[in-house]
Amino acid sequence: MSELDDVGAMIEVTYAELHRIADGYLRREQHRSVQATELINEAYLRMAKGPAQHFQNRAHFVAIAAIAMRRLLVERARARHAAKRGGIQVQVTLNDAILRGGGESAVVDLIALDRALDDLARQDAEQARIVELRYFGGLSVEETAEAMNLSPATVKRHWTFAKAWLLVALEGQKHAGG
Amino acid sequence: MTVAVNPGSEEFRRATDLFFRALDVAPEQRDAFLVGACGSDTALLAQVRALLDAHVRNDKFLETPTHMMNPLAARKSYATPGDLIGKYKIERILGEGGMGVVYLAWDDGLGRHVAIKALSPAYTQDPNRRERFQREARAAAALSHPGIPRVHHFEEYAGDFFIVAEFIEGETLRPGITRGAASVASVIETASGIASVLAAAHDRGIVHRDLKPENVMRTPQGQIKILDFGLARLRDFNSTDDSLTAPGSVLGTPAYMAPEQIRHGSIDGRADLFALGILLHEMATGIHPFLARNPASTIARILETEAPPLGASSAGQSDGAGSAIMRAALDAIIRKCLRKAPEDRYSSAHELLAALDRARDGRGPSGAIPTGSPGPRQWWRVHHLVTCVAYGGLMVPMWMARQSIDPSGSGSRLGMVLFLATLGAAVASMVLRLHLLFTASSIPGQWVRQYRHATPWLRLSDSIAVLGFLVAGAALIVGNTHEGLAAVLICAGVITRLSFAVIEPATTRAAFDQDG
Repeated sequence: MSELDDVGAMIEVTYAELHRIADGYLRREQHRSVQATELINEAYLRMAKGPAQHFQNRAHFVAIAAIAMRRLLVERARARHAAKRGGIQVQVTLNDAILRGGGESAVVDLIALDRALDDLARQDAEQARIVELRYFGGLSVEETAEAMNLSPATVKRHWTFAKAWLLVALEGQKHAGG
Repeated sequence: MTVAVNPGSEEFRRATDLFFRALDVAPEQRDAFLVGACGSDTALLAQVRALLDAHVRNDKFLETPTHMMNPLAARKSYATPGDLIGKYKIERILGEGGMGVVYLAWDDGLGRHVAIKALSPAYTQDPNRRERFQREARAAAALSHPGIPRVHHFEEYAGDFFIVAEFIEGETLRPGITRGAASVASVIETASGIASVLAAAHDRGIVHRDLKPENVMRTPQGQIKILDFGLARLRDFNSTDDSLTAPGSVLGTPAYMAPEQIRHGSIDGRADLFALGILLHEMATGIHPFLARNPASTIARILETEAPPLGASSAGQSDGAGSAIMRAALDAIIRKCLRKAPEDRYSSAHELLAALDRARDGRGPSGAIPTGSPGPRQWWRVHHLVTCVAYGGLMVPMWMARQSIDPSGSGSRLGMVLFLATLGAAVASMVLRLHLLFTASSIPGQWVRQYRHATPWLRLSDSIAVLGFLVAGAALIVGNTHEGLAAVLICAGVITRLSFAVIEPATTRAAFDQDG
C-alpha cells in the first residue's frame, strides 16, 4: 500500500515536468518532426533528473516511467486532437493520436485506449497496471512480473485477458461514438 | 452495446474465469462449451464470445510497446541529390541523426568530397541560439586535431543551416561491434586513439558529451576520428530556453550518458570517459553493459548497476597467455572509467592514456606487473624457487639409481641415458623458471611476452623430468632393488606432476590474474 502511495506522489512530482515537455513538443512541431523514441527518452530522462534518487529500486523507477509515459502520450494526443477539431480540418484520423507498430492490426488510438484502460482499472487495477508496464513502459512479461511481485504466469494470464478486454472495449467505444 | 463488459466486479470475474476455461477447450468445441456454461446468462455468453474473438483475431494488439513505434510523421528533407548548397553539389545522404541529416557533397572548386551536416531548424531558428551554436562549432573546429574532422565553413541555404566539414572515409565503430567482440589488443589500440583525441579537446575545455560508437570512425589507414565534437553542447542551451527545445535535448538514446549527465546535466570531461568506458566494454564483449529492453531500465542501470566483468576471452580470439593479462588490465581500466562518481574515474584523458599504455605493455594499472597482491606474488616466487631446489635435490637419487635401472643387468647405459635426459629437462625447467622470476622483478614490461614464450617449453621440460622420475622409480621396483629410492622417485614424480597441474596455475593466476 505504501508503495502505491509513493507511486502516486511520484507521479504528481513528475507530471508537471512531463506536461511541460508535451507543451514544448506541441508548440514546436510545426518546425520539426520529433521521433517518438526521442520524446519518450526525454520523458524518462526528465524523470531521472528529478526525483530519481528517491526511487526504491529499478522496478519502481520503471513502473513510474510507464505511468508517466502513458500520461505524456495521451496528453499529447488529446492536445493534437483538440487542435484538429478546432481547426478547419474536421477529419478525425487522429494521425498523432495513433501510433503505428508492426502492421495494420497494431494501430492504436491512444485516447480511446487511455479511456478503456481507466475502465479496466476499475475492474482490475492489477491488469491495468500490467498493460501500463508492458505497453507504455516496454517491459517484458518477466520484467513486469518482477516489478509487480507476481509470477510470470500470472502476468501472462492477466496480459492475455486485458488485451482481449481492451480490444473489445475499444471497438465498443468506436461503435458507440458512431 | 451488448458486447462490452459492463462494470461490476462479479461479472468481470465470471467473464475472466470463463474466458480461460474456454481457452483450455479445443477451438471447435469452445462455443458449445460456452453455451453450456453460461446457461441462461446470454449477456455473459456474448461478453466471453467477444473476448475470445478479440483474443483469436488480434494477436498483435498492444504487443509493440510505445517506445518501439514511430509516429506517422516524415522527417524533414533539406536537400536532394543534385542540389547545390553554396558551391557544393549534394551526392547522397550519409546518415541521419537526431540533430539533422548528413550529406556527401562534391566541392568542384577544390575537387574534393565534403560532408555537409544539415542542422535541424530547432537548433538554428532563433538568431541568438544560432549565434551561440556557431561559436560552439567554431571552437570545436578550431581544435585542429588530426582526430577531429576539420570544419571548412558554415552555409545558409533556403533558410536552413549547414556545416561543411572534412569528409572522412571509413566506417564507424558500430559495424565492428555488431560483428562481435574484438580482440583485447585492438580494443586497447582504439581506446588509446580515442583517449588522445579526448585529451586534446578536454585541454581546450571542449567536452564531447555524446561519445558513442556511431560518432567514432576508423579510417582505412586505421586512424581514429571523432565526429560531432562539441555539437552536443547545444543541449546545454536548452536549460536556458526550455520551452523551445525540450525534446531536442535528447538525441537518440541515453545509453552512453554518464550518471551525472542524466541526473543534473552538469558535466566535464570525465563524462566522456564514462561514455568511452561503455564503448570499450561494448567493443570487448560485443554487448552494451547497461542496455536494457526499454529506455527507463537503461537509465536505471546506468545510475545503479555495475557493469559485468569482461570475463574470459571468447573462442576464436584467444591470442596466448599475454592476452589474459592484458584483458585483466583492460577490465580494470574500463571499470575505472565506469565508476558512477566522476571523482572516482580517471581525472583526465591523459591519465587514462597512460593506463592504456601500461596495459598495452602487459603491465597493470599500477604500473608494475598486472594487478595481484604481494602475498600471492610471494607464493608464486616461493613455488618456483622450491621447484628449482627440488629438481636439484632429486638429481641425487636419480644419479644413485642409474646403475640399478637396467633390468637385464648387462650394463648401465639405459640408466645413464635416463639420468641425462631427466637432468637436461630439469635444468631447462630451472633455467626457464629463474628467467621468469628475473623478468617479473626486473623487466615487468617484458613479462607477458616472456611468459608466453616460456610456457610451452616449461611444460615440455617438466613433463620430461616427471616422466624420468617415474620411469626410474618403476625400473627400480621391477629390478627389485633400492626400494627406498624407488619410493622417493615415484613420490617425487607424482608430487611434481600434481604441483604443475594444481599449484602452479593457481599461484600464477593469483599473482598475475592470469591463467597459468
